[in-house]
Amino acid sequence: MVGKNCFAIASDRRLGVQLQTVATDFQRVFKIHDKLYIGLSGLATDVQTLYQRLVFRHKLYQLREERDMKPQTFASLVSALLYEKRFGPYFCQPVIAGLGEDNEPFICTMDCIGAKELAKDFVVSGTASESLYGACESMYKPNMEPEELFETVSQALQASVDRDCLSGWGGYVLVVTPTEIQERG
Amino acid sequence: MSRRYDSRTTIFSPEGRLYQVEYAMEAIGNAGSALAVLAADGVVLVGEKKVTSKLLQTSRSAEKMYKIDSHLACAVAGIMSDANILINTARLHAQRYALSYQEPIPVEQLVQSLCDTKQGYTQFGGLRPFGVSFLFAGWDKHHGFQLYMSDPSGNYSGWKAAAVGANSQAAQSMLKQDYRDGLTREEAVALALKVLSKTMDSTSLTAEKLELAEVFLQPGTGEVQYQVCSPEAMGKLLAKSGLSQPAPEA
Repeated sequence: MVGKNCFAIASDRRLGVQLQTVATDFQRVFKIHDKLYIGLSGLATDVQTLYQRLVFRHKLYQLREERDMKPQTFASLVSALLYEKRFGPYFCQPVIAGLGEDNEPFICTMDCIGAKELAKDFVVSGTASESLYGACESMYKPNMEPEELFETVSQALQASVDRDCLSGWGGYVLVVTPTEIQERG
Repeated sequence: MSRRYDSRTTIFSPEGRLYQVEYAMEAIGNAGSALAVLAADGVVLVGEKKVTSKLLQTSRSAEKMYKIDSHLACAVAGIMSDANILINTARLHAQRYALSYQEPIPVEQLVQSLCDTKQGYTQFGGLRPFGVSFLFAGWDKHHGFQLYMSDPSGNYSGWKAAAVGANSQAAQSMLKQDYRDGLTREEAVALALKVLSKTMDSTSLTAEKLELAEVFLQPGTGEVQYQVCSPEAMGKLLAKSGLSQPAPEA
């Protein structure tokens, strides 16, 4: 979700196999660099593999270009990577959030074969995505400060995952401003 | 006499030498020197920039030092274009290892793989060897800080202090005299600068002619850091060690 010169990215912590909960500390939100984060929902193995492949590509980019990737560029990279597997896709839906040039917040999501969807307010993915759309739509306000953004995102996350039996077992919220990063489990 | 045996890499001479490889090392002997010193808490890399013209566009990127991964760097002496290819190969190899094993590549393994590539060009394919010598500096959890030197033949070995490029023999013998075990990074920097100033062709050391980089563990987080010295810091270091004055007339 986008706020005033900041963004928040959040996920639940459950890892399950249909009705069985296997872990309650599963990491779904990953850091690419200080001002760029990606959240991946879907099949756990694809979440981890996709993240590792993205780190590979980003590290080489950093070494060759001697700078961090811009969020828009990174989103294009993710989209291309997903489309490579068009006929045998990664079962993953990414949510990308970052601060671009001049610390302008950038968010986008895509489907599992790389169709980008840019948004100015919020993006969601996962089994509770329909509830999340509803909760975010009603709770979102433009230009929220980091503390208010944090509250809004937490409330939206809790409200939606509580109504979804496959989501929950803890939450993780990250708020990123140009000067600091706030994590809350 | 032995001229007949030097045009192809893939044959030995009657004396049992590979001329192309030796000629490659000759090419490196004409390039700017690079020195490295292993300290107890890090590795110091120093390089001499051969071409300093006012017209040169000073970009951010270094000419002699390259980062290969977050825990590994190298200094280069020889043909720059050959070096670029090998450095790219090294970077890819390091990342592929990290992707497969989810841990940083051990320094020796990276050096070995790069040397295997270089060796290939001395045995088959009919292509000339790479005209580059490397000084690899890095840290891994198995052996801590390490320094390796490799040459066009594909040979490599671990060193406590090493020099490649122009006047490397002189630099190496000077390092042998003055090196002691258990140096700190600061002492290693001072030693490297002192040796380089004595073996460099030019009369005075200025910040534009040198590049300095260090590989060390960040005090707070314990993460490996590769840091290139900025020109201002370089100037201060030279002034501190009293090396920025031109050499006295004989």
